[in-house]
Amino acid sequence: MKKIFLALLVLATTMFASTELEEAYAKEFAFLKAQKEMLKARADELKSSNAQKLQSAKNEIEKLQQQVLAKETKSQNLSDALFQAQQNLETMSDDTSLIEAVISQGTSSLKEYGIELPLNKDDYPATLKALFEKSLALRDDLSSLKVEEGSFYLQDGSLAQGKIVKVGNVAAYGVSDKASGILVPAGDHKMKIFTAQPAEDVANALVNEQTPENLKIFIYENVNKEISDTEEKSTLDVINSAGIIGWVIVALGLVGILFLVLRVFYLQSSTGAKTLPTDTLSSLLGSGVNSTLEFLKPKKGATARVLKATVRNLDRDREHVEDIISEAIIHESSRLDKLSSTILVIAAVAPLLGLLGTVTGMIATFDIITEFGTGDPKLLSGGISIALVTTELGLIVAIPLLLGGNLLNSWAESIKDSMEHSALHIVNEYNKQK
Amino acid sequence: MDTLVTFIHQFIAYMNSGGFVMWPLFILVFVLWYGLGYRYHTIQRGTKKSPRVLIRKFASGKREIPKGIIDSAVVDGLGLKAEIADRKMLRKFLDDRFYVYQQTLNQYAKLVKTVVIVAPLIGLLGTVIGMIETFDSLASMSLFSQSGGIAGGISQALFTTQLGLVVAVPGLVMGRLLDKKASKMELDLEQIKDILCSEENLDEI
Repeated sequence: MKKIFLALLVLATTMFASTELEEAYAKEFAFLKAQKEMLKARADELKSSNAQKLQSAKNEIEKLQQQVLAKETKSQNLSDALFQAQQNLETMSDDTSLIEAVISQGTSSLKEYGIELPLNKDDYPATLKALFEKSLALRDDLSSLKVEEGSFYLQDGSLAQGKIVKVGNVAAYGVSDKASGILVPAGDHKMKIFTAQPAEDVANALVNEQTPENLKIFIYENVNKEISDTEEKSTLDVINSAGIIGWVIVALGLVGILFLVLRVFYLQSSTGAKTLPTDTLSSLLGSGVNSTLEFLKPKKGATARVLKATVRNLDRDREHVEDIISEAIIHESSRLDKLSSTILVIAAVAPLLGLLGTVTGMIATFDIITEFGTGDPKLLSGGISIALVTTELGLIVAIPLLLGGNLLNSWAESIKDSMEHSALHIVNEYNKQK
Repeated sequence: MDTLVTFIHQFIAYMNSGGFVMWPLFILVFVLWYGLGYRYHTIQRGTKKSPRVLIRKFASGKREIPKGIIDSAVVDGLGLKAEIADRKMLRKFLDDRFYVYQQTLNQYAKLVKTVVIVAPLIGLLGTVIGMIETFDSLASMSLFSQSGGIAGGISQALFTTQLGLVVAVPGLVMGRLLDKKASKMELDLEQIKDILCSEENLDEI
């Protein structure tokens, strides 16, 4: 029972308590609902305001971006302009230096003719204009023929007063009482008379403003540079420049020429009279051996000697006679060939000696190169030309000796042949008659 | 006429551009071609038949007038053979008679040879002289002077060598050809001697 009571009690209490709770809950619910409404409204409000702000911010950004773009374009343009300006500046400074170079070149060129040109750095056009005007005036001046009083050196070194005809600044003629002719620079703005080509008539004609028949002229490059007379080298100088080998070659050449002349005389005397063989034969056939020997006795020369030997032994055995003839011819030919090999040896040796001299000269030239380098062409080419002189001498010696030696050899050869032939002829004819 | 005058002027200018060496070379041309021409005219064989045939024909009387060297030699040889019976003597007489032909064959041969040797040497001499001129002008720095200078020296050097070779090369070729012809004809002469001195009957060869 108690238990039931307790249960009822609990139930009553519970029923009582639940009504109270419901009330509280409802209250609370209403409150919360109101709050939720309020929060919801507030959230909506916030949302809309946020969206608005976002929009405006986006707009702002876009605007700013546009601004940046505009600025960037502007800066690009500006830097382009800057570059342009720098380039312009460079061109201008180039132009300025070019103009300055032209002006300085012009002034220095004009200075040679005694024309001073003030350089005005602020007014280039005026300076240039002055430069061109003066240059043109100078050109006109230089391209004309002028006659002026002046002095020039004569051949013996004395100074002569007279008239000088100037053909611009490339040629000149001088006329004075002592001598007239072409003038050439003698250095230091002085002129001297040109001796290599006398041209008195031309100078006189030009002074008198006539046209000369032949215009002999010496065109020079520069008034200040002296024209040195080319010194004529004598043969002796040339040989001397070739040194010891040159003299050896010349000596050999003289010996060779001497031998050549000796040989010519010897062969001349050996040939004898052309009619000697026929005379001998007719005498032999007409008057016999003894009188022919008498006829041959006073005759001189190789052919006569061979004929004498032949005639003396005519009556012997044929083979014996032939041996005697061939011995006599060999004997004579050793004389006829005298000096022939010497001449040809000299002719062969002379160019070789010349080559030796050339090689020696080249070695000397290369020694000079080792010592002084290749800077001065004068040193080198002088050495080379001296080296070549020996070859020249060698050839000059060799050519006549070769020519003469060979021709004399063929002469000697023909003498030998004719000796042989006439001996054979005489023997044949004599035997035939017998 | 004008062309001739200009040609002569050009020729003289050519000769002068080579210096003093050119004129001896030019004279050598005439000497050489005189020798060659003489040789060409004298070395005429005559009939182009072998010595055997010639001897048979002349011996049998089919042919009588000799045309060239070999022909005349055959005629001379046959004449001697008729005169002289002894074979040994005949050879001596043939040697004697043929000497003239041999002399003709060798005339100016040596001269031509010598000129052919000497002409290039003279050209070389001119070259050396021109080179000396060139190097002299290098030395004296008168490189472009009117007479001589570098160009003058080199042109002299080249012209002389050119003329030397122009003289020598045709002379060499022609000389060789004529020499060959002459040596062949000398052999023919020997053959004629041998045939005439042989004991064989002339009709059987």
